[in-house]
Amino acid sequence: MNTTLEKRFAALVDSAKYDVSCASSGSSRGNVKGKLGTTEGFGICHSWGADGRCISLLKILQTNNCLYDCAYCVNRRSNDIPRAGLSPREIAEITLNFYKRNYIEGLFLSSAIVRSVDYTMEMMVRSIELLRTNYCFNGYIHIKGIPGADRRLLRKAGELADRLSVNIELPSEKSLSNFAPDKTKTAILGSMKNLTKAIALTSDNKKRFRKVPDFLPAGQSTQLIVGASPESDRHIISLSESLYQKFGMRRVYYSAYVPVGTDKRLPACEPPLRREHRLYQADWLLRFYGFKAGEILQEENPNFDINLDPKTHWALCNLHHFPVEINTVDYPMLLRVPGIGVRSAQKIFRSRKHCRLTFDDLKKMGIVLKRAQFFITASGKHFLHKEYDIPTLRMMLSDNSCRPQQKEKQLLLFDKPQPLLTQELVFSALTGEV
Amino acid sequence: MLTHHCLYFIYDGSFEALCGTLYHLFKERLQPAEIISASQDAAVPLFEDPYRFALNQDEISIFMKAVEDHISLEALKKIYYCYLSEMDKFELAMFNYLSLGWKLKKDVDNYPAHESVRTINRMAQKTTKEAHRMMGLVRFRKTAEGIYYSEIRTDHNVLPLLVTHFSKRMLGEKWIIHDVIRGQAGFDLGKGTKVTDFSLLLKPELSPDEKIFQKLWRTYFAHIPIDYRKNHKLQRQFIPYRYEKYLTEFK
Repeated sequence: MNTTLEKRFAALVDSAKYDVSCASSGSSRGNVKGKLGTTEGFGICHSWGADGRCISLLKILQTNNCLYDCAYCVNRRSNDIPRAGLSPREIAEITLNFYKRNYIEGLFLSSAIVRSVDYTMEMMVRSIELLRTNYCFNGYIHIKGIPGADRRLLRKAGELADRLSVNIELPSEKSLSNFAPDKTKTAILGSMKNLTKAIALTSDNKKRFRKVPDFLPAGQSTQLIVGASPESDRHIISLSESLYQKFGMRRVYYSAYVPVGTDKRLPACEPPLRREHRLYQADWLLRFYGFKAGEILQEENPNFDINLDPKTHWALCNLHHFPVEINTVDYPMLLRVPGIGVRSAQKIFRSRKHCRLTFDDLKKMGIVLKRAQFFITASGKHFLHKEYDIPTLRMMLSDNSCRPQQKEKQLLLFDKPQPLLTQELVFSALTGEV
Repeated sequence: MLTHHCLYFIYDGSFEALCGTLYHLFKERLQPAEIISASQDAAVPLFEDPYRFALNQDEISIFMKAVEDHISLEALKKIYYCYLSEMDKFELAMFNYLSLGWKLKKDVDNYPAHESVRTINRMAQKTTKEAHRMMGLVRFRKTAEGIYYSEIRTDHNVLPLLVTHFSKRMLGEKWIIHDVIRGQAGFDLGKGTKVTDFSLLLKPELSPDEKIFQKLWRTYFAHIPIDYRKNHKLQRQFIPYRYEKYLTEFK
């Protein structure tokens, strides 16, 4: 076994893991004669790491020897970590062999900045071009876009990859200039806009012409770091909303800041996992439940209640809408009942045509009434025969596994981090059922 | 002899035979108490003599087409998944669902509150969920002859679904998926995809680069988690202990 290959590989995986995007979904491509692999629109999880996160792609950097010195990044120039690189051929060989053994759905390729932005982008594009053409790989490829790279290189990447992401990381121009001065808001948004236009053009052409080559079939995504900089949750959610609306972003990922360096400007607290979870729940409310950012959080209360999911929080602030009658309420309002997710709402909506639903029916259909019971009636009847005031409701609806609100404590040298996420919460994060 | 007092029916265990049996049951307007598969050691009631219909291919095709046209393609898929689930009394679940389906036609799937629809949904979902999970958890090993070999041990008969998936994914490669519990394998060795009875006589010799890539995969698996987010309880909930021994990364 080539130990230097193994060591280089390990170093590059260590450097790549803080980019939390992991989806292999969004692109549905059948097999092509002469090529290996397919993509499935629904995405496939191949394994789960020790942190409970799904593994579906080979997530790796081309090299981690970075020119930039972004304060939050593990690969920053001034950090003392093992530096390594892999050749395009090595990346292609590893990807293909992992793919054939069904370890992965495809490749996730990123890189530290070497020599210049364009040089780095060209190096990555050459790697995926080798994989697509010489090695005839037809599986999923997710490539990172370097902010400010030449338009032509980004377009070339879009022709070869399924998804491209340009990470914003810090949610405001001020934080960017404080912690990552090499990355500018103009460069980041400029690259995104470029790609949005190209995706829209391809979509338009496909309606008019028969054979139009794909361009980023799984769209764009991006990442925001939570907890490294002082922006409120309201700021982050509003930013996500405009990314979805103006740039047609497919996903915005939120990554709880993990202290990876010794920069004193950044907090050395435990990663804000609960906060990250609430942001994902709010993100789903934006995309699937018809909420607007302004409804989820207001100026007076710009941060989430850690103990309550955002939908329940909204419901408690808008109790005049409830209770709703399950058999007559319209679909948009049905989606807003806490504890009723998209699938449950669809089941209720479809069943209503055939019979008048009772609470027994709801339970048999598998609809979880733990939270919904306070907000609905079925055939005119309440589930509970008691009325509760708002503070009592708030207490009853708080997450049981939540510890009482503590100030984020300074990490001690030998502190063991406590797991805060359970499968129920992760399931909610993955499916969006809130 | 078939009379209207017959309540127990038997078929040879295949999906086609079951379809043929259902065709006759609906045609004669019979209400079965049980439909028993001859391939299993299903308990046949002591004093009953289950009736076996004579089947022909035309009737089976007519039946499948009728389900697709009068109810929906979704319904045909559901009864197939239900068959693959091998759960207790799945044949009766199929019968009840189809009885409702002839009345409601394609609206039958819009009625999840009905018991027959709930039961078949539950059974079909078990199959599809396991199939989807296995699409990720199948692990191939490359033999010295260049064939990618894998073994699976599943609760439900998901091999046909996996074969459909991998025949597209692994186009151009030679592969075998061996369902150890049912003694069957799906494979493509260069002459098209097939599913047959199979048993392993000799443990296959692995190719020299197999060890290298297995080692790299274990390295990847060890380095990809973020230390601060370590949560073994959560990992355990996604990968129960019983799957671990078949996954390369846990060996």
